[in-house]
Amino acid sequence: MALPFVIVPVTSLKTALIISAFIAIATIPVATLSPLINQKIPAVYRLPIYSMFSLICVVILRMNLTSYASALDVLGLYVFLSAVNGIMIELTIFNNRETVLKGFKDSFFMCLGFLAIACIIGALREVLTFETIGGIHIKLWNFRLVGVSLPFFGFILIGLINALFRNFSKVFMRILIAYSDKKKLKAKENL
Amino acid sequence: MSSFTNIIILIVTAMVMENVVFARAVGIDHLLEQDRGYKGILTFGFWVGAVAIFAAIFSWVAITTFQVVFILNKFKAIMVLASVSIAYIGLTFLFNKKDLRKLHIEEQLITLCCYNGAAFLMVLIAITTAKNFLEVLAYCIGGTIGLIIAILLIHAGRERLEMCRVPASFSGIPIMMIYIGILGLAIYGLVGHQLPT
Repeated sequence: MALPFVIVPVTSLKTALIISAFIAIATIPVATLSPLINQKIPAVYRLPIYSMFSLICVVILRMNLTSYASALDVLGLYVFLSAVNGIMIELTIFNNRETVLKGFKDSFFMCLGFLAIACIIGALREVLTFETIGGIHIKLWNFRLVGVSLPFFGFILIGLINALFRNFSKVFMRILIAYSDKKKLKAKENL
Repeated sequence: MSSFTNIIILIVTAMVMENVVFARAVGIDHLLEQDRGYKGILTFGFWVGAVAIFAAIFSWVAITTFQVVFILNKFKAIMVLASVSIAYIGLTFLFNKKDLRKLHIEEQLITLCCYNGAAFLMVLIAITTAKNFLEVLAYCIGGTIGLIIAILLIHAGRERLEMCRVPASFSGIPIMMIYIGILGLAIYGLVGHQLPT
């Protein structure tokens, strides 16, 4: 739901952490408060109000992150774009949550999931491009893949990671089913 | 003559080099879920363009009138989002009228047209980089054409991939992402960009 933010601007661990912070600040407050005020606002004004509130939160955070100027330069306009991210729209408009707690919990865990994926991709791209992780120099091999930081590689990487996770989840499900079958068999034998 | 050439260059740049989908991946999460036909894609593209052009005009007028307030990009971003929101509210009221319901344009389409990020980003880039109003308009038009071409290419790719035998783990979104990545790389090669060294 927030794919563009992972594909293009996340080229290092630092940018991954910063864009995750922006996504979180744009999503969690709105998703938490929306169950409280959803009924009081006419449907047509909800998204404009929520997105504007998110953008103001993003602008305030951006003003306080002046020490990360180089990372903010890399992120560019994606910082402002994070105010209309897919997670926020999904949690407040398309599938709005009924309670404050649900809104907070879902938005928090979605942002946490985004952070995890962004960090994996950011670290991978940083290693391949600059031979560093979080600014710490590591030398794994004798070549640099400079093109890794370009958007098209982001698409390919996301596709590969998605397929890999699907495969893992399939294997995991198979193991779980086999384990539960074994348990059932044992229980039958005991009977 | 030179200004005309500049505008054509700007339209082509927005269309190909700064394509909102292939170069910036904006709106890709919504595009992957869409299964509209070619007519639906053109309708979607048309309304994204209409929203972008309206927002560009509104933002440009506001920003040039109150130049002192909008020196910083962050305040420009707030103005652009406000313009997109006004377009959204206007469109929602327009489509809620009885006679326009016949067009079968659902509410979700209006939401996606305005808030999928493409219109917002197009206007924001145009406002922050262009020197005059004509350039802003040219960038929005080029961006919209580029967006429509990109969605058509994605749709055509999806149609063909559905007929292919794809490994189970790759079927659906993963193979589409790889397809878009390779397509993006091909367009990148056509443009003649050099990799950073």
